[in-house]
Amino acid sequence: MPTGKERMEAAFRGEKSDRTPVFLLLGGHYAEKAGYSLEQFLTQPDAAIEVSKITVDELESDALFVPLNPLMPDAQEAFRKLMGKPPSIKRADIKEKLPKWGVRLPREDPLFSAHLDMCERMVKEFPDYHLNTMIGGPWSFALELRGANEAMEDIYDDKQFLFDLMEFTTNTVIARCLAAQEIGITAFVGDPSAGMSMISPKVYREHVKPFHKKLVDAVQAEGGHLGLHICGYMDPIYEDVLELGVDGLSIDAPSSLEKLFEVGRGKTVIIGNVDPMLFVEGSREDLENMAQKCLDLAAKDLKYVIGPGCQIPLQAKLDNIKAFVDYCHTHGTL
Amino acid sequence: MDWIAKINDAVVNGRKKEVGQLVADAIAGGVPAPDVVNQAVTPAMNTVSELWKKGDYFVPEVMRSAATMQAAMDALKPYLVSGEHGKGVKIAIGTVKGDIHDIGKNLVAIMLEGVGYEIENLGVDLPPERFVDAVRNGARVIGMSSLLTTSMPEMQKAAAALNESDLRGQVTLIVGGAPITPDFARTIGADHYANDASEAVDILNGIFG
Repeated sequence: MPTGKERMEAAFRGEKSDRTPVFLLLGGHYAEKAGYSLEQFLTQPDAAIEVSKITVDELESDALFVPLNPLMPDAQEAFRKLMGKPPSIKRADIKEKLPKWGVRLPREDPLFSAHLDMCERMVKEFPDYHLNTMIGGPWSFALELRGANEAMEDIYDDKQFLFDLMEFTTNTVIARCLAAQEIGITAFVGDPSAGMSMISPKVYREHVKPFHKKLVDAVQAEGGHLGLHICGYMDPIYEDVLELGVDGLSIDAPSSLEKLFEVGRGKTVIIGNVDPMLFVEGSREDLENMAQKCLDLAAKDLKYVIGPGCQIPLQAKLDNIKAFVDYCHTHGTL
Repeated sequence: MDWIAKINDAVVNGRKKEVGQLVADAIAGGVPAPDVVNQAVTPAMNTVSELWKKGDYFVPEVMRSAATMQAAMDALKPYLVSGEHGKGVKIAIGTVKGDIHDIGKNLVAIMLEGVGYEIENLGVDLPPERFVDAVRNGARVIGMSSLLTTSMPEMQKAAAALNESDLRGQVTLIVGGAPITPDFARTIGADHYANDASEAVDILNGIFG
């Protein structure tokens, strides 16, 4: 039987495996079952490893996300609380400071360096699984530094500043992706603020797309794969994102899987897009029905990976996650 | 010179840098300030809302129009008598504890202000008692926003604090945010759920006229 890693790699190559891989965006859902608090899972390497072990045992996962990731909101909040830092990284003086900033190398950032150590441990502990790390995308990073409200004004009043800021954030994101890739981890870039729930197609094409292209090219030039996830509604920019040449595109529940298959079948690995809230509020039957709907749309496409549209909320019922995975394993044969 | 049409056009098209002068010129030209609000600014924001619903406008365009509307209102303030325009309804809106996202919440606030509501923007990362205090300070509507699934329990706590207070009967609770669903809104005892700012405006206009 193929390993999860082999299934995912087959999907990237467009080759047949035994079934459609399942790709879950999970956090510390199994922390309690493993005997740890959520905070321990988010901040302690040994706890994170043990929780990951329980997770793969319970779910027979194909893919895992490396924990202790300071770029994920829940871990970011936990670390900032631990370190006594404010929750926001917004810089009121950014216009003055930006020209003096050079790209901070991944190993110079203590939190991200600790995450790279975690990447190395995960490669050793979980060799049979496709390992990913979520790296915050350049546009969302730019908005965090500048302030989302202020950036919306810059779109009209100071485009050059936004371009310069995106140059900085993109180079930082590239460095992080390549650092993870060097260890054998696939970079999965999550750029939530780049979706149409936040910006418009015009803004995406002018301010984000060129930098996403630079990012994809940089990762692929070093022989790696890049996955991209944009939260919310993405339909109006499907063709733009496909033009980037991303290896994997994960879409959220508000986006249309049907439309993405129409315009993008075979062009990328399509990942998604079961509503994450179904894992919280839905029944087993709801999840099975939604899984079947996705599998029907995919029609045994070899470049399809089934999964939730976004991170499964911590409030999700573990029985629901298990039911979904079991259904996909049974009904997703290729 | 049709100042009303020019100001309306400036707000719809987000010409923020021009609108202050247009307002000044209109006032100097004898147009009453309430007419500028009721015939130019408010209808402009209604047009923006319709463009958003149609899918022609997205958040950046709506925010730009909203900022332009605010610039127009700032220019009009010296000429407006309190209570002369607007609906006379105070709305307090904020993002719940553990969440610092505010762009959606700010957009709702601005859109509601644009159509005549009095807005108290409570900010972000708010403990439950801040919402209850807002009702004590005269808010007839409380708006709660949450963008993270991890802060949804905080919305539940804030709604509970309001539901359990002796003020619940005098306030309308409306909730929204990316992870919020109509089911969740019902579960926590909210009166309404709005998918976006435009829907929030429609719902509240349906209640308050």
